[in-house]
Amino acid sequence: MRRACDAIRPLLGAFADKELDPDRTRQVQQHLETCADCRRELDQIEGLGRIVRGVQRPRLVDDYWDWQRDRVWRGILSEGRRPLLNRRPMQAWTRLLMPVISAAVLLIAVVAGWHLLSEKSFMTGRGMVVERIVSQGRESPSVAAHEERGQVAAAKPVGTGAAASEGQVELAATRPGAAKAEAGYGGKGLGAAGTPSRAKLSLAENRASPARSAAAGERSDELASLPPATAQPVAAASGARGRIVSGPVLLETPPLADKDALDTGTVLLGVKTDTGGRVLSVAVHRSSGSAKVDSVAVRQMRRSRFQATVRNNRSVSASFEYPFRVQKTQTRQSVQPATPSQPTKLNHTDKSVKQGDQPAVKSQDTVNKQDDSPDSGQQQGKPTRASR
Amino acid sequence: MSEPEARASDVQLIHRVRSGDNDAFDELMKRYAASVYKVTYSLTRNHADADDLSQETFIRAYRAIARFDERYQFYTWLRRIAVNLCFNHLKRGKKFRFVPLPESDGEAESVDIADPNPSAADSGLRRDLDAALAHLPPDQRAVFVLRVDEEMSYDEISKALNIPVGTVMSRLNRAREKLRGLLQEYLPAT
Repeated sequence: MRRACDAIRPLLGAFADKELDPDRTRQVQQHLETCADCRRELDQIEGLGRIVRGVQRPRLVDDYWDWQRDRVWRGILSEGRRPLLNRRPMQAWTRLLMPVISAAVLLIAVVAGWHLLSEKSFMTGRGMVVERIVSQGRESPSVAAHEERGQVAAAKPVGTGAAASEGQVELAATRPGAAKAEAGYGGKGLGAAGTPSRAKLSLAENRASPARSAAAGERSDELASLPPATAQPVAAASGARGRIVSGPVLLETPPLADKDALDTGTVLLGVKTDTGGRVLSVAVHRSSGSAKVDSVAVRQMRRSRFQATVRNNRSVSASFEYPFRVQKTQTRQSVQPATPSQPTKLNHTDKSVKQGDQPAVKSQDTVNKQDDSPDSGQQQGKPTRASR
Repeated sequence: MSEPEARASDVQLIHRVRSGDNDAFDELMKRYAASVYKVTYSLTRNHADADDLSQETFIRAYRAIARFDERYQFYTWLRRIAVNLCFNHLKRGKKFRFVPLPESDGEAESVDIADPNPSAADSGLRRDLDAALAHLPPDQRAVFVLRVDEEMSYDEISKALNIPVGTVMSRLNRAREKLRGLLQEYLPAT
């Protein structure tokens, strides 16, 4: 009997509450018929319920409702509890679709932003090079023509430092008399790793229509004799508003010793310059695949000098990535920045450093395309008109 | 009003609230204020706490009414909000303290919400019952009150507190055992 009580007593509460299944209910009933102790315990359980339910609850005062209603509405309308009216319950399908919709919106935004930044947007002023898209310019035959003729070149790569980090880089490379060169704002620029995230900005490159290109080519000698591109505030010349930043322009790089020009390759260098454009530090951001080429590129870059980066009419130190190409040719070896330097520097070295119309700043993406393009290969084997 | 009619009426009011009709929410509050107060008082055994928790229940219900599933009874949903608030309140072991509202006036806050003159015979039992319930751990207290005072089924308690039915049963047994010891003088002799 004792053992039976131990099994039944835990069920007495549920039995009193009528929560037992029929089998257990019968089992408890049969036990209660023969066990007085369990019957008394059941009586106490049921009595406990009775006294709890029998206790009179506080009677609400007559104006309780009005008082409570006012408190609730004050609570709803108080700060941080603004009414959320006209809201509909989110349906199950909506909840399921929300992540998909969010992802789609994000994708559309990214793609749209990519295309917007990749589109050609001209901001021409009086003799101003403003903005353009690097990749388009690089693919344009007109660019090749410019390069062959050793036209105007203002360099520059993916900005990551003082200028680019501001996220609002505009490039203004003014070249007096340089026809109507157009510059671009190349938001599509790829970074060293070839990923979009690496470079939000790529700076401009001259790009002209074929007709304009031809016209410019005819003036190539004149242009080649011009002083290096000088960064100027866009606003000063064109009336455009906003902060003005000029990308660093490679002014000079020393001749490459023959012993160093034993191989060809492009190295993406991380370069820091001081306010005067002097190189403070150089690091390899993307190797050419050849340690020798990398070493040569770093050494050459350390001895190079850039045009000072200007922002808001002030020279600033800069940190940026710069593709540097070391080239070995059949007749002679050369070293050159993947973005060619200034035409004025062509004549003072027996190593051919290609020149051409260049953007003040360009992306690595462009450099790669340039390197891979048939035009590029042809150019590499030819001296530019300026160097001739 | 039958249960289906009451439910349909509730749903109509809910639709009106969702469309911006605050009078409809007034009507819902008026219907269920006493019931909600009964739940909160049963669980807290304290008038001030019960009132604050009732207020908070309606505030939360208003803000969440867009998510109310119309397949269920409005009061069941409302009660679940109240139970959760009370249970959290009991677990914290401290009273709700709401920041005074800038619009509130002292006069309204001082209203006595309970009848100050309950019967003398009942007052002793109620005091002892409140004291006995106060000795229970919050989880046992909540389950016992919801079952005995609110007459909720084990399944309803299980859903309201998000615990298994077996846990409801075991907590109920422990609560009853303790209360029988504390309220022995009011129970049938063993």
